[in-house]
Amino acid sequence: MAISLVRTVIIFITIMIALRIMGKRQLGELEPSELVVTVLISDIAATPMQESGTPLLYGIVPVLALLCFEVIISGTILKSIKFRSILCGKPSILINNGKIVQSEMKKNRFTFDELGVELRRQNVTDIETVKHAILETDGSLSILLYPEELPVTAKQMNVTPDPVGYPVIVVNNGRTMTNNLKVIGRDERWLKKELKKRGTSNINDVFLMTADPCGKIYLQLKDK
Amino acid sequence: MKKEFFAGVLFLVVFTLVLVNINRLDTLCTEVNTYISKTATYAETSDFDLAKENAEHAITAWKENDLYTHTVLRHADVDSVTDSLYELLISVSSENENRIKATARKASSTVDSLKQAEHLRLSSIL
Repeated sequence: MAISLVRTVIIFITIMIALRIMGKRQLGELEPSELVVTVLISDIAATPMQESGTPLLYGIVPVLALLCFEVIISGTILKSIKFRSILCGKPSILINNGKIVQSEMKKNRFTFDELGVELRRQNVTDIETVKHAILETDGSLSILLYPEELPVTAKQMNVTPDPVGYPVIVVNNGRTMTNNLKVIGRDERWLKKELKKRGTSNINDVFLMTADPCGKIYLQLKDK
Repeated sequence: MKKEFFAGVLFLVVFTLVLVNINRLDTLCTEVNTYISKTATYAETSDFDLAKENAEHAITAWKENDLYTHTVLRHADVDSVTDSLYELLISVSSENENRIKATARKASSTVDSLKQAEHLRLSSIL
């Protein structure tokens, strides 16, 4: 039991490092090669975790091999369009200029029910509003509506909205995030001034404070 | 490009280590098999003292590499070799030539199958 526990920790750390090196895409939408690697890694890792008679290396070596393959393949995909189309396939246009492309639906074994589900997920209930629907290589559906169905933008209304900055966390559960303050061009003196303006002088009382370069601040104090 | 290069290098390193492991295992199995065959040879000439000595050498050679064998081989496989070597030692004590020959063949076959399983051959891969 103790062995199983220690192995689980070791394999977990190995997989975490491997997935971290592979990048964020492993966690989000997956290309076929990425999906294979992710599924395989979990399967391979499980065996030495559960069977203490199997050497740990029987889990670690395949994980390392998969990691190497994934990095090499994803690098090659970036550089070679042909290789990418072989490995990942090409996007399929399921709706073209408002018309469902039945041959593509058949080719991808995509039913109308599934198409309806994907459209509704993106808040589209009327198929007539869709100009193009593209089934991407990672299985997600991209939808392009007709221009007249799109929400109005501030530019179209000739309205200048307030500038929006990228908010960063400057205080996290009583801790000052000094690096983030530098990102927005501020310092601790500014932070203390802003806190005082909002009725508190003690950073330890702050649960969360975010700020953006445009001066927008969100502050929440800790529950008492 | 850097990441792919290092991934390629890492893969080559892992593959090289696998080949080194095959070589080391071969050496160990050959050493153990040598002692096993010497045990059988001495038993044939009724020199049971030397037969026992060689059987003990086989066990020592195997046990000395305990950490290595348990790291790279399935524990059940390692244990089956250990059991067959002790079986050989016990059979030597019986001073029964035929029995010694049979257990020596069994021990040798167990060691050989372990060695062959690690080799990169189609039958091992499939």
